[in-house]
Amino acid sequence: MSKLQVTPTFVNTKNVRNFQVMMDALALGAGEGRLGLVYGRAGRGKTRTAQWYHAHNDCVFLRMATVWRTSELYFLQALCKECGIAAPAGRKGPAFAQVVDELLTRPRPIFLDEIEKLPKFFLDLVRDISDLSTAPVILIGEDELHSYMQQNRRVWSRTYQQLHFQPIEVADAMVYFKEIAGVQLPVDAAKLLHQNSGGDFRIIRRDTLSIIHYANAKGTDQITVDLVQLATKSGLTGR
Amino acid sequence: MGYEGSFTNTVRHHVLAHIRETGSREFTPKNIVDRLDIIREKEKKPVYERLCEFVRRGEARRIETGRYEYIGGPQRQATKRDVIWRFIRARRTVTVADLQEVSGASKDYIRKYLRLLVRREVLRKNGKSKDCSWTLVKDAFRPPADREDAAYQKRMRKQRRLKKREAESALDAAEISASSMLAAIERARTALKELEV
Repeated sequence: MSKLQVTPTFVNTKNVRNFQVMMDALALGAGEGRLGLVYGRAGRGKTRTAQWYHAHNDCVFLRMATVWRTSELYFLQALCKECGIAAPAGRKGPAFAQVVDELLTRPRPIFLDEIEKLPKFFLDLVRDISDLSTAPVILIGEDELHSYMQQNRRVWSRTYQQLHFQPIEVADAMVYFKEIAGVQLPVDAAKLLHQNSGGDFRIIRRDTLSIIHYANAKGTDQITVDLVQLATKSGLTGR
Repeated sequence: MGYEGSFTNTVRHHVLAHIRETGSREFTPKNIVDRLDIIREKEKKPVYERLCEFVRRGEARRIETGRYEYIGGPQRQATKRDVIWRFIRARRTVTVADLQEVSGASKDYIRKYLRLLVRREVLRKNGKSKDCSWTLVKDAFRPPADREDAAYQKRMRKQRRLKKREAESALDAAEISASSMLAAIERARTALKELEV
């Protein structure tokens, strides 16, 4: 029996497919400012999907930092750098103009991750950038981001697309396991793996590695329910 | 996208400058012709042709006759290096497995590229094991140019050219011999016919 190998692969889950559909729909409104909203509980792969999309397409990705709470300047300067502006201005107004100019010349989607950490006036700033540059801005965050945006009428009316990242499904877990380990996971075992994860992709990933490790230690490539139970339990206790 | 000095690029620069000045993505051919200081009708024609080319490529959209909207440059297919570089910039600290997952490139290719970035002092390797992480220490919008890779690509292009030339001459020779063979067969057939008569 050959050992199970781990092949890191990005799997097109249902959420990823919905994300791509959302991006295509946002592209239809080219020529006017528009926002997109991606929200859901932590661990469902929102950030990973956005980073994957950003890596394969010409986009801007920026993870918001808590230290920017007090000043928009740091945010604008970071955005300038992500847009490819080598020397961002030292003041808010010129830095804002630089970002708008750059995006007006080369419009591309902007992903802003974890924006709900920052005060609400940042939403208006983002709205201004999108309106003036006509670039789509996609805000990514946890469940509270939805109400955070809904409270601002002007922002909400410009939100063309919203996507709730759903818990991972059993079929997704099976496909993921097949892609990573190269062997089929029986339905019962997949159901157990899914149940233990609560739909959290991060836990599925962790438990998949644990299952492969246990299978290799036992010298088998037959994944059984018992093996999954053993591997997931040891994962939850931190082994 | 056209090379830097091409007329297509000149037209594109003027379209972009017009967008920057007006703050709107809409423009008319007259806007561009005026910016280029073109008066004669004959000289205007190449500008119109370039605008049609933009529409064909999906770079611009014709709203109505004489009114266009600039959408943006045609997107180049991202190479594996582009994907790896963008992902490093987004995450700042990465592992080879992360990059393998996102880009689909082989481990060896990724390690080779990461080592190049370390040599260029763009990345720092954390630890010495195979599964260690790599952190971005010098951020730049574009990845550092890989001169070794450029030289390698040049060598490969030269080799491909030589091989193509060799294959073409071999094909020519084969064609010549085939046609002479056909001629010989034809002569034999004629001789046989003559014998029958």
